[in-house]
Amino acid sequence: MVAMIVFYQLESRSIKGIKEEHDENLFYYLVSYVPSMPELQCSVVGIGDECIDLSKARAFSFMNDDYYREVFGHRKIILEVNEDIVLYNWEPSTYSGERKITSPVSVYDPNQNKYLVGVLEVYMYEE
Amino acid sequence: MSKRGQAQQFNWIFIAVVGIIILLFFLGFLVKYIDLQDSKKNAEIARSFANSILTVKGTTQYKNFSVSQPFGVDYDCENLIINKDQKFRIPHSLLMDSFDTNRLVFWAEEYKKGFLVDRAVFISDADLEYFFEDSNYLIGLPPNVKIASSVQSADVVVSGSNVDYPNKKDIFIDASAGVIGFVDEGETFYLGSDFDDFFVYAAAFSNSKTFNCTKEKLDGNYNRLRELYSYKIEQISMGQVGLCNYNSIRDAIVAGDINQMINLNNNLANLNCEVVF
Repeated sequence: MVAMIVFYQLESRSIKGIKEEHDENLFYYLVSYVPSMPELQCSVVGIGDECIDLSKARAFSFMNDDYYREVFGHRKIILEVNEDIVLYNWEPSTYSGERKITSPVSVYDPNQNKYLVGVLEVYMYEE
Repeated sequence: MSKRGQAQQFNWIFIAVVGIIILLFFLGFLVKYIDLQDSKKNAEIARSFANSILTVKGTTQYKNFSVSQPFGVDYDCENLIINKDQKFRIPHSLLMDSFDTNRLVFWAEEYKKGFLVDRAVFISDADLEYFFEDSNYLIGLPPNVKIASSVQSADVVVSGSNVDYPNKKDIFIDASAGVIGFVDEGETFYLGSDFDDFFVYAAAFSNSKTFNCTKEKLDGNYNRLRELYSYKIEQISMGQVGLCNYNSIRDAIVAGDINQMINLNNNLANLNCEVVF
């Protein structure tokens, strides 16, 4: 009987595990999704380009909208390019650690009409 | 009856009661276990489903999705609900109707309002056939959506006439007046100048409730992007001199005058100035 109860508990936890796996996928997905967001993606006369617009990134860092909390959750996103631009940060009240993934990105600076190499960092707060 | 006989009878009753309790426990466990396995299966479907949404959202391509057993999917504008059991929160713009199927098609459509506002994800039952009276709408569809050659063979009819065909979902379109109607649900949306081909697809592949809430989400994105472009103009206008004037396009963006903002953005490009979007 005890074995059955333990087995049932383990099986119940596997559902939680599936949801955690989804969270994990979302974390990796953000590295590819963030540069393609209309809020950050370069565009020329309405046609999107495969790069991050530096002026949009700076503007985005000032945006403080609950909508992005729904999309990104408890994470931090930084664009490193000559300067560190904190695109988003929602820190939980307590967390035990941080995990980070990085990806190189092409960054366009419209003020200098120049393409730069940047690094996109996505952090996940571990609770 | 002797005392020994009574004791024996009591023993048998005790064994029977304990036996029934153990049997009930096993039956209860079995039922719970079956429910748990169903929930686990639903959670796995929901995870694959959510992954497919994220995949198409990032790439603007289409994707087929299939599982061996039919499953039910509902969307309450916040969560995807698989088999009325497992919920997954999806904050993105999503257009779908409720269905019970094992084959689905996912794709993303760009919604532009002068500039790109969002890539909304569309989900459809792969077995449904769609009839568009105006064949121009077929151009924007991915190849894995089934197109019906006539109204009779269609499951969903999108036409310019406000007709309720029996056993079909009927969408009424009046592009000149900017009206989209869900004939069966008795809901009509007056989009006016916001009317766009995007909303014709949005109506064909969703229901009035999802259509309405997704439109609200897109409006929210549009307003956030207007704010963002105003910030961007502040930055790029600092370094620009001469013919590059950003005051008019900033006013057009703040006012939400789409035609004006497109014209002014094109003018900036023609003058070799940095464009806003």
